Parts: sequence; structure tokens; C-alpha cells
Amino acid sequence: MKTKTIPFILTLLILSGNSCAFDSKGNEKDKEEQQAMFLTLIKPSDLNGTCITAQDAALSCMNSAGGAVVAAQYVTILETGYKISIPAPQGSSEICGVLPASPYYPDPTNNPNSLDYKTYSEQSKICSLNCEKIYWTTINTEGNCTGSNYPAVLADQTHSLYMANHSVYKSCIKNCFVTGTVIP
Amino acid sequence: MKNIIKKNIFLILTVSSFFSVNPLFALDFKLHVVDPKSSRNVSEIPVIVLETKEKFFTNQDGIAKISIPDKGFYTFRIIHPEKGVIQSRLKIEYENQEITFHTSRPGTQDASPEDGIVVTGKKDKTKLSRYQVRLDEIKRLPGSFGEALRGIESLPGVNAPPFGFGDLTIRGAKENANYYMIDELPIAFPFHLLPLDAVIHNDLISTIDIYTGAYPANYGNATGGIIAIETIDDVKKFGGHTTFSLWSTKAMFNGPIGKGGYWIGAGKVSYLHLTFKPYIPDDILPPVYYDGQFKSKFKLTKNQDLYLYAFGAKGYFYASVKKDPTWDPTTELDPIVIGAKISYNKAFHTEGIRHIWNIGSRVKNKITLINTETVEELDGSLGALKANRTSITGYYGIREELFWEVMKDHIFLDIGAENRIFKYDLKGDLPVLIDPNDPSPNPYDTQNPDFENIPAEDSVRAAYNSGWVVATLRAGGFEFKPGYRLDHFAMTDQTVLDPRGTVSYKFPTNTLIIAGAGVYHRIPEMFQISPTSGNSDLRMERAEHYGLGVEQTHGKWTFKVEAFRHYFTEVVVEDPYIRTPYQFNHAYMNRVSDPAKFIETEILNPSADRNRDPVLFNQPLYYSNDGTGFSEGYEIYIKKENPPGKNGWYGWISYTWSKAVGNSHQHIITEEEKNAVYTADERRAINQYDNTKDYYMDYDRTHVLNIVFGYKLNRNWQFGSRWKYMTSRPYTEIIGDDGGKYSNNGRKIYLPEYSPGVNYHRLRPYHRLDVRVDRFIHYTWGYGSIFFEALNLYARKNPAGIVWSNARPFSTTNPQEIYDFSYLMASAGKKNIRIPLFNFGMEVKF
Repeated sequence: MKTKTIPFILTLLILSGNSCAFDSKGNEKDKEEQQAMFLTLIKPSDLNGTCITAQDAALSCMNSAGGAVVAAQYVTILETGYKISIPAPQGSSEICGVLPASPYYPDPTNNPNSLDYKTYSEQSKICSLNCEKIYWTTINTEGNCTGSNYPAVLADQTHSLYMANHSVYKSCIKNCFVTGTVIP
Repeated sequence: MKNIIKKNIFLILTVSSFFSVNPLFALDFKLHVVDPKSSRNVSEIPVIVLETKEKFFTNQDGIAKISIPDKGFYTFRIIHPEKGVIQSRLKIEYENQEITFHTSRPGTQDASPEDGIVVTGKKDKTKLSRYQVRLDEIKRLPGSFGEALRGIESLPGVNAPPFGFGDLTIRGAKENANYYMIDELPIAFPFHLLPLDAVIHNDLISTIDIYTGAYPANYGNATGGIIAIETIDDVKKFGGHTTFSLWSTKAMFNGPIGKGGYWIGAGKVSYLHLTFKPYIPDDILPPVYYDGQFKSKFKLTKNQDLYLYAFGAKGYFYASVKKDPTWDPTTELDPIVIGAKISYNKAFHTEGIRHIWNIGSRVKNKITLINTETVEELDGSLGALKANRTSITGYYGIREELFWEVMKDHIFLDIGAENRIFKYDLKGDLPVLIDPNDPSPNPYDTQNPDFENIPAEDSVRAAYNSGWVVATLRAGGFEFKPGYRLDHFAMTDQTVLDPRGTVSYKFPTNTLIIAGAGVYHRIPEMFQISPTSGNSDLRMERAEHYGLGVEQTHGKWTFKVEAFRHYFTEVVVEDPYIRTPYQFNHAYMNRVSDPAKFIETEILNPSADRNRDPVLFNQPLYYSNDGTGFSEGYEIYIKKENPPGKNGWYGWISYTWSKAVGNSHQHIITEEEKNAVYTADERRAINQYDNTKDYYMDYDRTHVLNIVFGYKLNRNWQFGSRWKYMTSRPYTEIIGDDGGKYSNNGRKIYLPEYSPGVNYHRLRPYHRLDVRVDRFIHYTWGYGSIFFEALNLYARKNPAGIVWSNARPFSTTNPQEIYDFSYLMASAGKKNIRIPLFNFGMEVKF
């Protein structure tokens, strides 16, 4: 009896030793991790370049609205809002030399002396500046950078990051801080 | 050699299945095998009737149900584990006669086993990590409020809150990782909304087996433990049983059907809402519940039985908190629930039709048709949150199981398959966080809400199929039980193969050494895998069990020591970060019934409404399989049995040392990150960084000790006691508050701020002594009994946790320790003293 039983036991031992678990889901890619990795690779990191592009668009709109006078008013608003001093000749390069470094940028209400103060990452500043560029370009395209509209244009700029009323700007900011990049 | 074996198997199979001796028996009786020295029933041993060459087995009560052709003298031979073969010639005179067989009475003679005796198919239960209790041992356990099912809380490896909701944690697995069965039919929940009552009548229970680890391949869909309740399978005459308490009444009736058949009907109804009505506020309806069980057996032929089953339970409650302000923090409820409403209803029903066929004497076939359904309805509101949902979960299917003794006394096979159509329906609206990363969402902000209600509508029908094979290979004292289980679940699109097995050796001294291991899978909860409100890409949870034990039995005594280590992976956890770039809007698409109208309204004239978008982008999925964990420990179990109905003492000591550790692997937002603004993409990348540490699970208790002692003085009096000692569960320290950022109906809400050390702290240990006295009054028609129990006899203030009041800021009195309710306060002069909690009840059996 024992001689007949042993091969059975051995067979089952071998079978159990070769136990394999197959999982048909195991080879699927993790969309979440893939997306995050991809984003870290494709992200631009040129803060100054983005800033200059944005300020070029802003100053272009100001110049269309009222020339140097309005552009100067815009610069004053930036200096007041972000508590910075922009050196002459107060062009895009000069603005971008100090604006992104302001502890108030991009939210003028974000007081560094407050307990609730939050620092903005470089990417968040780039994203905000990019939204500003889109904003100025859009209103220019819409024909709103004109003499009759410039007070309203400037008024918009006094609004803090999340208070700008323009739908394109709001949508862009939402994409920056809430939605993020959607990869098809 | 292979040919010889194949030939041998084929011969055995053929002969045993088709040509074995299988006469048409005509008379049934019971042989009660007892060791007269110890007065102990001799359970699970073979009894051979030499004249018919049939072999039977004694059950847990030492009784073998034997069939013979006719009345007369027969020679019975038992194979006793200690005394070897014992033989006796007895006269059987009438149907259903019960004869006692003493294992050492004078005149017995030893004999050698005869060849050619065939064996009735019998399921062989694993010895490793399985504990069995009889109804009579646990029904009168003090502190269990008369519910036998609560008795399993005092067994090794089982961790239950002292006054919990029936939620057991077994060897460090989550509460929902266990599987409850009655006669292998599923039940959705073991206890009612008021967990003093179970959903099954006590006296319907015969035994309860709890498998705490490394259980065989015929059990599935559990990564924790298996609670297998077996019901009674013998009714001789019409009878009944009723029990009355202050909150419910339960009754059971039973009677025979023809020859060998029976019916049993049981039920329970609660009336807490009536008996305690003067003490309950008008706007609260305490749990109202009822249940019913029906089982019947029809003996179709000598070898075929048909069983019908129907179980069901339902319960509901309602509560609302008025907004009327008193501005008195000592009388007002927590501000977080002011104005809240909840209405909850849950129910399940399970039906089964089972056919058992003893084909010849070596093969037993069991086929079961199963239908089960669980319904949950929730309607509630809290601040701006509103939830309204109805979910139906269940399956219908067929389960086939074949037991085959391939080679006499050496090789046994248990082969089975279960094919189910799993169903899941969900309808309603669910509140979800707009930003799942929001660390402190405000549920009361209606102007700029942090939550949104999303419509949920699922209607899923998915295949859930399983197959298993368990072999038992036995030679001498050696036993090897390898097994495989294959599960396919269409909702997770997974097919998993789980190897499991145990190996043991039993020495002639009755010392058993046993080791086992296995892989286990469990399907996610339906609300987690919901295509509309969860993550439809979830996978099954996975566990690995490893165990090693030694068991020594001696007379009425059992001594058992086991060590275990279990690993848990793919555990479903809440995941605030997981998102999908796009997904179909199932809730909307499921409602589309007219394609032409859909094209016109949605494609040609698209809506801006998110709930009407066919495709949703960047959607949170809320759950992932990121969780991991492990548990380890050792258990000691010392038990002294007493035969049912006999005077004497019984009891057990169970001690468990264990550690249960888990990790959700969800990025913890650091202080630096809290004080910074990142883009959504950056946050997504940061959140991938796993900066977590393992933590003790919320239910972890290092030491759990139960000492149970029962003494049956005589047929009129019985005494029972239980002392329980437990390490308190861990908690996370509260170190401050948020300054009261939110308010509800004008009441400020202070939310607690927790220490980063998750579950670092524990309160004092918990221990209490419960005692119970039963007085039986016997009548010709049955008996009545009155019981009295005192819980927490020495009235200890046992810690139950810490509680935070949202009405007050952090202080030395907030949070504060709370105590369980196992004592009462009484006035003694000017002093208030603590006294034990008393309970009493009455039962009648006829």
C-alpha cells in the first residue's frame, strides 16, 4: 500500500511546489504613476522666460490702450500690489527681474507676515505667469486693449490670483491648481 | 508503477461507485460512544457494522447515526484513537433507538481490522487554526446576552470590542475580511443593528467552527477568517423554544416530516422602540428589526436527502437632530450633528436548495442552488451634505461538491465548483469631495461647497466562478492536505489561483504537530468598485497565511498552541490622490435609453452640466489597492469539556498575543507642503512619494485573555463565569484644534488636530468579570429557565476610548477618556458608587 501511496504524495508535493498565481490585471499599466512620471519629464522650468513672455503681452496691451502712460500705470500697479521696485526702463526684463521674486507674487493678498502665508512653488509661478500671458493675449485679440477699455483692463490686474473675472483666465488658473494636465 | 496506480484507482472507483454493497436499509438508530472512565463522548471515530460492512462516524456528541437492514443482533466495532479496536455485539430492537457503547466495558475484545469494509463519505475538517464550540458551551456564556454567536469572541485569535457590533477581527485582518456562513450558505451580516441580537436563532445552531487561518481551498472570498455555523440536523418530534427579553422575543418551532425528514422555523422580532418609548426622543426611532429562518429536510431515499433553506433579516432606524438652539454646551449635542438626519435600512435574504447523495459508500455528492441578496438604503443629510442611495448586492448560482474516498483510509478528495452571477445595483446621489486632497473640508459651506453630489447609477451583472480541489493523503500518523482554489471575478477582470495546504503528524501519544499555509483572495466591497462612485479598476484583496501548531488531547482535556504570520496585500484603502485621465460617465450613460434622443440632446446640443457629459475627465477614483499589512502572534488554548447534559465543570482558557500592522501608503502631507502652493501637476507628482510608516491597526490588541468556567451543579442549576483581559486599542493623540474655522447653525465647530504618530498611544488595559446563574424548572412538556447575570462584577471603569467634543477647543478636558457601560451608578448616602450591570431573561423549551 505504501509503495503505491508515495508516488501520489510526491506528485502532489511537486504540484504544490510549482504553485503559480496568475493575475490577468498584473500587466496593466498604472495610469496614475505613468501620468505623474510623464508630467515631471515634460514640465518647462524657465521662470524668467515665461515671465518675459507674459509681460510682453501685458505691455503690448497697455501700449495699445494708451501708450507709455498706461504702461507706466500698469507698472505702478505691479509695484504697489507686489511691493516691489521696478528699475528703469521698466520693460519686461526689468519687471521680471523682481516680480517673480516678490514674496507676494502671484497673490498680492498673501502676506508673508501672516500666519497663513504660503510660498508658491516655481512651477506655480510659471503657471500663473502663463495664465497672465493667455489673459493679455486674449483680451488683445478680443479688441479690449483699446483706449476706452483700458481702465477696466487695469482694474482686472488689481484683482488677486483667484479674483480675475475673465473666464479664460479663471479656466487657466483652475487648470493650474485644480485640474492639472490631462493626458489623453 | 503509474499504470498499476491508475488501474488501482480505476478499479476502486468503479467498484466502490457502482458495485459496492449498498443494500436498501430499513432501520435507523443511534450509537452513543462513551468513555465510561472519563464520561466523555468519543467523537469523530469510525464505527463499523460487521454484518453490513458499513462504516459510520460519531459526531461531536459521540453519536453515530447508523442504518441497518432490520432489527436484531449486530456486531459493532470502533477504532478508538487510544485503545485501538473495540468490538461489541448489541441488540437493536426498534427505530430511532439510542444505545450506549462503552469503550472499556467488560467483555469487549480486541480484534484486527477487516479488509473490504467500505466508508461513508465524510468531510474531514482541518485541525489547524480551527476552533469549534458546541451550542451548550456558549449559549449560557455570561456577558453574551444569551447570543451563542457571541461565544466565538472568547476563542483564540479573535478580537472583538467588548460591546461591539459583532465586528470581529481575526488574526489581524479587517472586520470585513471575514465570511459568515450557515450550513455553507452566505449571510450578509451576523448581528442586527442592535448587536445584542444575532440574525440566527440560538437553538437552530448545532456547532460553530471558526477558521482563523490557513483554511482549506473550499472556502473563498475571505482574507481573514471563516465563521461556519452548522445547524441542527435531527428533529424527532414537534417542539419549540421561546426566549423573552426586554428588547426582543425569539421563537423556534420544529417537527418531523415523514421518515427522517423535518422542518424547522425560527424568528425574532424586536420591540425596543415600544418598551423604552418613554425614554426615547420623538425624533429618534431606535433600531427595529426582525429575522426568520426556515430549514427542512426530505429523505428522498435511503441515500438521498433534499434540504430547503431560507434565511432573512431586516432592520432600520431613523434619527434627526433639531436645529433649535439652547446654546448650552452641556445639553446640546455635538454641533457637528445639529440639524442632521439619517434614515438607514438594511436587509438580506438567502435561499438554498440542497441535494445530498451518498453514492455507494465512498462517494458523496452535494449540489446546492443559492440565491442571496443584500439591500441597503441610506437617506441622510449633514450640513450641506446630502446622501440618498439604495444598493442591492448578491448573487445567484449553483455549488457542486464531491467527496470521494479514492483509496481506503489513505486518499480522499474534495472537489467543488461554484458558478455565480454576481449582481450589483446602485441608485441615488452621493456626496463626494470636490478636492479629495482637501485636508479640512467644510461640510457646512453652502456658498462655496467643498462637496458635490454626484449621481450614482450602477447595474452590474458579472460572472463570479470558483473551483477547488482538496486532497487528503494519510498514512500512519502523517497527513498532507494540499489544495488549490481558482477564482474568476469578472468585475475585477481577474483569475487567481490560490495554493493552500496543511501537513501534520500525529504521534501515538495523541500529540499532533501541524503546519499550514495558503493564499487567499477577496473581492472588494461593491461601493469601492462601483463604476460611478468608486474605482472600477480595483483588484481583489490578497492575503497569505502561515501557521504552525501543536495539539495534545488527553481525555476531556485539549491543549493547543499555535503561532501564525499573515501578510495582506492589495488591500483596498481610501486614496485621495488617485485619478483617472478620463472615464465614461456611467451614471449618465446608464440612464440613456433612447439613442436618437441622446444624439440630439447631448451630441448636437451638448450640455454644460457635468452630470450629462458622456465622458468625464480627470475624475477622482477615491479607492486604490495600495494598502498592505501583516499580523503575527501566538495563541494558547486549554479546554476541558463536559458531555452535553452531564453534571460537572467545563471551561477554557484562551490567550492570544498578536500584532497587527498596516499601511495605506497614501502620501502624508508634510508641514512644508501645507505651507506651500503647488500646481496640480506638482501635487500629483509629490503625492506619489510614499513617505508613510507602518502603523498599528485601529483594532490591534497585544494581549487578549479569556478564562471561561462553567459548572452544571445538577439538572436545576448551572453557573458560568468569564474573565476577560485585553490591551486597549491604539489611538492617535490629539494635540490641538483648528481654531474653530467652521460653524453649523451658529455653533462653532472645533476640529481636532492629530499627532503625526498614528496609533502611538494606548489607554489602560480592559478587564472585567461576568457571572451568570441559570435556574431550570422541568416539566413533563419541557423546561423553563430563568437566568441572571452580572456584568463587570467588580464594577471597574474600563476605558472605551477617547472622545473629542467639537463644541469646545483643545484643553485638558477635551479630549477625554470615556468608559464602557458595563457598570451602573447607585446612590449610597451622599456618595455615588459603581455597581455591576445586571441582566436577566427567561426561556421556555417544549
